[in-house]
Amino acid sequence: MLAEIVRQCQRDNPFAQKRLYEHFANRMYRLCRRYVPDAFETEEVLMNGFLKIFRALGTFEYRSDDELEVWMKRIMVNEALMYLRRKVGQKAWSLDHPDLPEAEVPHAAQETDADLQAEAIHDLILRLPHGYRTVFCLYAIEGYSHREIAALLGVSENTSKSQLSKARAMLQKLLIKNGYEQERR
Amino acid sequence: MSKKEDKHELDELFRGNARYLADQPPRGFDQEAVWQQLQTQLPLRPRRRKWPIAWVAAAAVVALTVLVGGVWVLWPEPGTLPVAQPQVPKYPASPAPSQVPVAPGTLAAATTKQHSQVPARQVPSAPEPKAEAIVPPPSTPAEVPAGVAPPEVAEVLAEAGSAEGTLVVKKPEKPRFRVVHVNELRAPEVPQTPSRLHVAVRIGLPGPAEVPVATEARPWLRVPLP
Repeated sequence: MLAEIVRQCQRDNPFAQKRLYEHFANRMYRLCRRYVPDAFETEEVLMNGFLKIFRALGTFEYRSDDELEVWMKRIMVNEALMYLRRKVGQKAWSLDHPDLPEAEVPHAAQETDADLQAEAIHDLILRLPHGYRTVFCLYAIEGYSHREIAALLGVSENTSKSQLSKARAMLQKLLIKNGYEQERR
Repeated sequence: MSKKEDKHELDELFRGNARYLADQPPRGFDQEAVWQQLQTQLPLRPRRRKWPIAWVAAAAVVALTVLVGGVWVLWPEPGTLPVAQPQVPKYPASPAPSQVPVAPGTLAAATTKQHSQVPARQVPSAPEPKAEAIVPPPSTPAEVPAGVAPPEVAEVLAEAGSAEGTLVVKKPEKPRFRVVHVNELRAPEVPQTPSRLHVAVRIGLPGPAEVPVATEARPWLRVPLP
């Protein structure tokens, strides 16, 4: 199905473009949201990312759905990082302990539903500073290596490893603070 | 649980959580509104032509072929074409009269001399009729009155009579026309109506210079004096 949608998108078919957008909108929004703390700006990053995807689809060679998703995620990640670079600046990645304010996180501690719990855990990432959050998301969730993260952010691999370590420690504390540690055990 | 396993477990927790939430609608995300905004920025799809270029080109080729074929079929063959007759201009550009050297003293010379007086543009391009020697009947010179024939013709006839032979050039006479103005042919004589007839009557004696000459057609008007 995605193969035909991609083929039609390569012919600038607006219906196929909407189908592709609807198929990946939620996934890509959550991906962007992990890097961009503000909801309104997340939508802007999402729009710019989809624009780049539609423009670059003409040169994309479809092989599988997974490959398409990975390709789209890379474009979205690059767009989010570009946004952060414009908004925060290059210092966001290299600071050991950034003074940037934490992202606004909706309170989800009292939610009992599994979805709401998953949302609450997801929102814990938004409490991390920019540098920690970016490296943790790239490494733990997107699956980038430290070398790739260093190349993407323009920092050394050691800086990436340091940021990741500190991000994990902070998340551990946040999980314990919100009562998740005992459940994991 | 070692510290390394904890870290890995932490990464797995968030990775699995993100995978679980991947297709869940995010809170506060209006998917349709974002699409409406995105749609306005998408590059417009190039409109397809109703008549693709290939079809237009094919139609043009067919039309041209039909046109050329029709002209080829309907065009008459070269043998059936009417041969264009070389038109001899009535009035050639050359104003010089044609002069034919002829031996003097012959009737042909006289005739040629007479023809040479005609402007060259009136001479037809067709070959001249050859002079033909005929014996005129004895009554022929007497029948032609000298006053009727033009002086040139009379001269020719006189020369013919004085010649040693009785050779007469038989030449088709040209019709003679009187030159009249077109108004003479058009304007009919309209009789004047009596109402428009003006009669002037003079009372008294005319002056000596004004005395009209008496004519037979118009008698004197006699007015009795008191």
